[in-house]
Amino acid sequence: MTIFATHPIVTSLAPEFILVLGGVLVLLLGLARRQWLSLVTFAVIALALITACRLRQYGAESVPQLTNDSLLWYARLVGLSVGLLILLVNRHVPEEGERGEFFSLLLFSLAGVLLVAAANNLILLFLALELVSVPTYIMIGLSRRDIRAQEATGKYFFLGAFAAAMMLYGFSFLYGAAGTTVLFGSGESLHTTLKQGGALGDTFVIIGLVLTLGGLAFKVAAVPFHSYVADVYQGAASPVTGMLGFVPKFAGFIAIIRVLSLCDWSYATDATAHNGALFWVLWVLAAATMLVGNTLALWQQNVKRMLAYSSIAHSGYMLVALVAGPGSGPSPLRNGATAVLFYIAVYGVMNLGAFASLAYLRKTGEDGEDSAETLDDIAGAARRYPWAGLALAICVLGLMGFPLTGGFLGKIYVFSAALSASAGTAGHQAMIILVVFGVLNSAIAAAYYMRILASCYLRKPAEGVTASRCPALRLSIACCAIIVLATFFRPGLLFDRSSEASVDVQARTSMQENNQSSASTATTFAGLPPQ
Amino acid sequence: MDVFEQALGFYLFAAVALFSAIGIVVTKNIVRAAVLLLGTLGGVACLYFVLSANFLAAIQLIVYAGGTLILIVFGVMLTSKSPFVVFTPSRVQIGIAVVIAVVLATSLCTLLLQVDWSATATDQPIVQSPQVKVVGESLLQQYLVPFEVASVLLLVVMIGAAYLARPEN
Amino acid sequence: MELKTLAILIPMLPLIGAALVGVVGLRGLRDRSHWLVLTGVGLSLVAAVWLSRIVKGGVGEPVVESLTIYEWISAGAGSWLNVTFRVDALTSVMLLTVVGISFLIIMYSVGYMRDHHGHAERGYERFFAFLGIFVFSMTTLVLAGNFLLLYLGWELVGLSSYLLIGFYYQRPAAAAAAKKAFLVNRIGDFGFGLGIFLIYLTFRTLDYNAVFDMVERGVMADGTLLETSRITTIALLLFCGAMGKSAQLPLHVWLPDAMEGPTPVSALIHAATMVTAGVYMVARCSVIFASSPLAMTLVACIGAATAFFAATIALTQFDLKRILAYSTLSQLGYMFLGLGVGAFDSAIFHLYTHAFFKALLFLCAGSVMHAMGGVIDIRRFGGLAKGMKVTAVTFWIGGLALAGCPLLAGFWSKDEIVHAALYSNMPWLGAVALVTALLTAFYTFRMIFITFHGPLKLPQGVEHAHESGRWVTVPLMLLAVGAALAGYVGATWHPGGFAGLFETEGPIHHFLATVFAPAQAVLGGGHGEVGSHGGASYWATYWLMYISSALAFWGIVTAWYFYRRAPMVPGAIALWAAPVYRLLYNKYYVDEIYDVVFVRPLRRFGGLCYDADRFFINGLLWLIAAVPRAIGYGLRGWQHGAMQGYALAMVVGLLAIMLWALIRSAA
Repeated sequence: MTIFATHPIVTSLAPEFILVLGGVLVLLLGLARRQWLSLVTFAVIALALITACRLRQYGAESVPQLTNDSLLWYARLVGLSVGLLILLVNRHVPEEGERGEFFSLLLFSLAGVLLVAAANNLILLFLALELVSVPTYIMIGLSRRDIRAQEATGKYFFLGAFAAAMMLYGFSFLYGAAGTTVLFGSGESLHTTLKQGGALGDTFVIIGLVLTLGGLAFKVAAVPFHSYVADVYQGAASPVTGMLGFVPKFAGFIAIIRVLSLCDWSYATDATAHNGALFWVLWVLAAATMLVGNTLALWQQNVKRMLAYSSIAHSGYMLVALVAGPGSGPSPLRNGATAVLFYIAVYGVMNLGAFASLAYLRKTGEDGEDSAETLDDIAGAARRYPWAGLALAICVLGLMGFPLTGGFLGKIYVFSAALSASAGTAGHQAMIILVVFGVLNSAIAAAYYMRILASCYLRKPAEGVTASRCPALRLSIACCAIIVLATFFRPGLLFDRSSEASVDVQARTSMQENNQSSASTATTFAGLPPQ
Repeated sequence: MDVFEQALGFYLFAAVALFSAIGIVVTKNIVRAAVLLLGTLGGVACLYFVLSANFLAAIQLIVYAGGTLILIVFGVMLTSKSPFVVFTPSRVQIGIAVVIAVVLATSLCTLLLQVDWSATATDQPIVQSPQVKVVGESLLQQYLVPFEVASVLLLVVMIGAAYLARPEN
Repeated sequence: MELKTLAILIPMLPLIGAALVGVVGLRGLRDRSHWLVLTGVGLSLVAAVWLSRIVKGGVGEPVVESLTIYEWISAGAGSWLNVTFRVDALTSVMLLTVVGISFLIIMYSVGYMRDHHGHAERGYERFFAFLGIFVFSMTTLVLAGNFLLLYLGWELVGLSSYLLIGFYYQRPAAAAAAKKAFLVNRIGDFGFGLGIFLIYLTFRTLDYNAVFDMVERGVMADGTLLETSRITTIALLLFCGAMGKSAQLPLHVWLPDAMEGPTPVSALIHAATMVTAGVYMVARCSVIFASSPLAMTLVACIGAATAFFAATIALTQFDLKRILAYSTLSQLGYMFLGLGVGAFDSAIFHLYTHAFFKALLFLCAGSVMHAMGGVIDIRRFGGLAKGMKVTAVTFWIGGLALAGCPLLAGFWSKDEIVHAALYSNMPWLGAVALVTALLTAFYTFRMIFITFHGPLKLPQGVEHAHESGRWVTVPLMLLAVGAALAGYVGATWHPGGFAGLFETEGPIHHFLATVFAPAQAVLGGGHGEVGSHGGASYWATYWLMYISSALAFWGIVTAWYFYRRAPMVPGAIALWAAPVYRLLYNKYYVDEIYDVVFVRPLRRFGGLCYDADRFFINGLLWLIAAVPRAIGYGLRGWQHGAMQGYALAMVVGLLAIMLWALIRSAA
């Protein structure tokens, strides 16, 4: 490590460098040796994770253009840990000749996630977000020889490019308004510009923020930028779909937290000052996302499509907490950002576990072996494969928000944070309505999750369905199920980290308060008097 | 670069741009038109070079010659059955084109006439602009990380292209 | 090993055994499934013994320890879902009883749950998995260090009981009995749950130590004075739970029906262990009950009433297991009587001895039933002692212990309770208890003489009475040893004492003294001298023991006379006192009264509700369910799969949002 220690950029981005270099290595190795690739990839992610831990321990110099806060640490920890699980799930997905490409793309995509959290610059943020998405487009195509996978790749790519263009256009407006691409900093930065009085009422700023949020809403699959989800999730091989539920969403939500921190979430408290334009945009987005996701899922017979729509709904729940903002204190019960960070990690694992369980059940159709997809395919699976059925049940119950799973805590945190973070602000009434709507939606969602469980447990076992022999897949399913339970029984392990992560998000807000030192601070959003 | 060289360069590249532009309008072969468009855009870029606007010249080459033109060529190749299609515009199309051209030319000429050229003219020799150096330095210092990330992104895109081109079974 | 490790192992080992049976029982083990559970419970027994040794410590006071096994952190809301164990003398006595008896009964089940050819019954592995779950639940209940965990264990044993009563779910009677047990228990548990809720409201915590400490000091969570009415309400609500679980009047109706379950289940759950959970709970909450004179009086009265009432019913029944079930009710009544008069240690002592002899009697009854091809009516067989020597001898020992024959287990503990009642402020309860002791001796030996003595009589289809296999007889013998000798933890060698040999103060009283010290302090000196007879003269100290010995013999001799010497006498009495006989034979018509007063009106009301539900609520539900589906159906048009449409939707959506945002910000 000493030779790298000379340059601060290399030190502070060491995990990302390891991922990228590892990606190149895997790509090249893929041309020659094919046996040890997944092991090498695993080692690379693990090494990056260890490096990140050591960086956290010893600290890194702060570098311009890069943030070095607790959110970055959280992104590294959660992103890389879940990344390991994703790798395990995807161990046998690519064909023999394409392993190098596939695994290196996974590494690049993970590097992108970390860079999104590290970016303190619009340009880097954009590039990082694309580095997250572009590899996923290709991975979908590589995952299956199926025409539907090619269709999914095409759709995802074109719509993704479209959304990226939208976001980039928004960035250009923000740059135009502020004259700088730096996000945060004491000098000239978007943050300092946007927190000036009235900046949020500026037409260019509003256009810029709406376009940016539109592009990010595509990444997290929020309505009306969600339409691709069902086709893409269905088209990709199940393990890759499991990845799609986490990687772009995680990056997207981190980016949304960053962008909303730019304006200190003051739209939520200052709802009257600018007629709450942004507040209502996010409010409607959250409500529509929950409703559309859940109601469309009710109609599905295909479990992958069902989970795709449920993935939209889950983005809606997370948006509910984000509308309210970080509130006071780092606790996930009061802090929207913490709640979202907790939720996305748990959701990522639950979703991955559910898709991994689907991938575990193999059905042999006309065009070769494939993972189970429809409710008929998984019928009676729990009778024939009790462990896989149990894991699927745990993950699905988690998605439902059933007690004894982390999903339950996630929902509690999200809704409670939405209520208490908005308490005392102009938007509180609206938030109460939104939370009630969210709870109703969770109830609707139970209907289709129960159908999965009912099919899995109560029906006669389906013919022609066998189990995968991949040990990595079994291991990862077990890990997912255990994590879903562990996040309930030992929530501290995760929410301590997510609370820590939102401390820096909040610190910016309170910094602004100190600077303003005027009576108006009483209404700003962290300005709730400490109880 | 003295005044003579500058004048020579200007006229030369202006001629290239102009004649290429005329050629685009005249030719009926669409691929030829595209190649001639390259001449026009390249000529304009060279004009920038002559005026020491190096950065602008580079952007002109990257965005127009590198991006837009390639897109047009791809568009032509992907949409028409043969690259040697003879291009026969209808009367309506010609009419619309003429109207747009006239409007554009008129407005540009009006602008040109309005500028007080004497005020901007200087006798001082044009000094070498530092733009490129500044851009280059900032790319490798301040914006090193975005620059590197962009290169990784390009690598990914190359993998993607290779995937698209892989043989189908 | 550390105390904490042991405390975790005791419930977990049976659970692991049960889980393993659940996983591999059906496929691999089948009729060898018992090994896993037997091993689990056996190791658990070793752990329990070990734990008791640690608790007993050296020469000083027994250890009292609160262990935090697991803390559930729910940020900000405080941590209320904690798994805390409380290990003290009471816990270890209960653990030894529960796990020890369970081990023997599981052993017995290995032989019992088979037909005569040694083939396992249907659901064999299920049976053992349930037993493992039961042991886990019961030990959790006993180990719990807070009311929430207690409630969890409480409900889990209820669930195990439901599952095991309904083990032969193909038989309608078994299914109905399971349902009845479940529902009657719900009534009690409803009160129990309310009590726990009220405890939380009053003390803002559910932890035993904190709650008991505040009760002892007579304060509430906010430091204000704890009113007697409040603590009485809490105690009575908790007692509701105990009445349901321990089948006291008027919630006793489920226990006799629960005999539909397999006999080992009746022995384990419905005689020795689970039904005593109510007694344990009241003893555990002794401080709460002691703080409320009204609650104590009620507990004592209900206990005495149940003891007498159940004993009278037992006089007339013919179903071997049902007689034993009523006897269990009666003995549980004794325990509550003991609790109600402040003799907590005597009640627990009786719980402990009762577990041995009642389990033994049930298992013997099971052995008889097995030999008689499932027939359990004592009128249809007789004189079995010759063919089934081990069963007969062990049944005799158990019967003598139950009847209160001197020097056997039941004698010591029952006498203590009667003594405490006689010396309490309600001496007439002691008198009731004495009468009940006579009845007990009589009905026990009525059963023994009819079944085992006289000419050989076998039900149709049974060729000869044969002794059961070793899996059955070994536990019988072990339990018989227990039934004979278990009482000596409550009596010590003391020349010049009772019968010239014994002092009625034993190790168990010293052992439990620390647990009940706070409650005794609350009660004042009045009940403090239980078991110790002070410095009074020999006759003043021991007269009761001679009286009750005499009553026991009187009961036995009467039974011998009625059923061996003059078999016409019982019939004559039944005729002479026909109304009384019919009343007793029909169990005071309690089931019928409940049927008329509660069940039928409720059923009619239920029918009404059902109609309302079908037409009104169902319609509403249909509507509620239909709305999201309809919305989804409408939205489906959007998802047509064409990419251009998706892009268009994105653009239109974005433009609409932007326009709206701009208009709002401009306004």
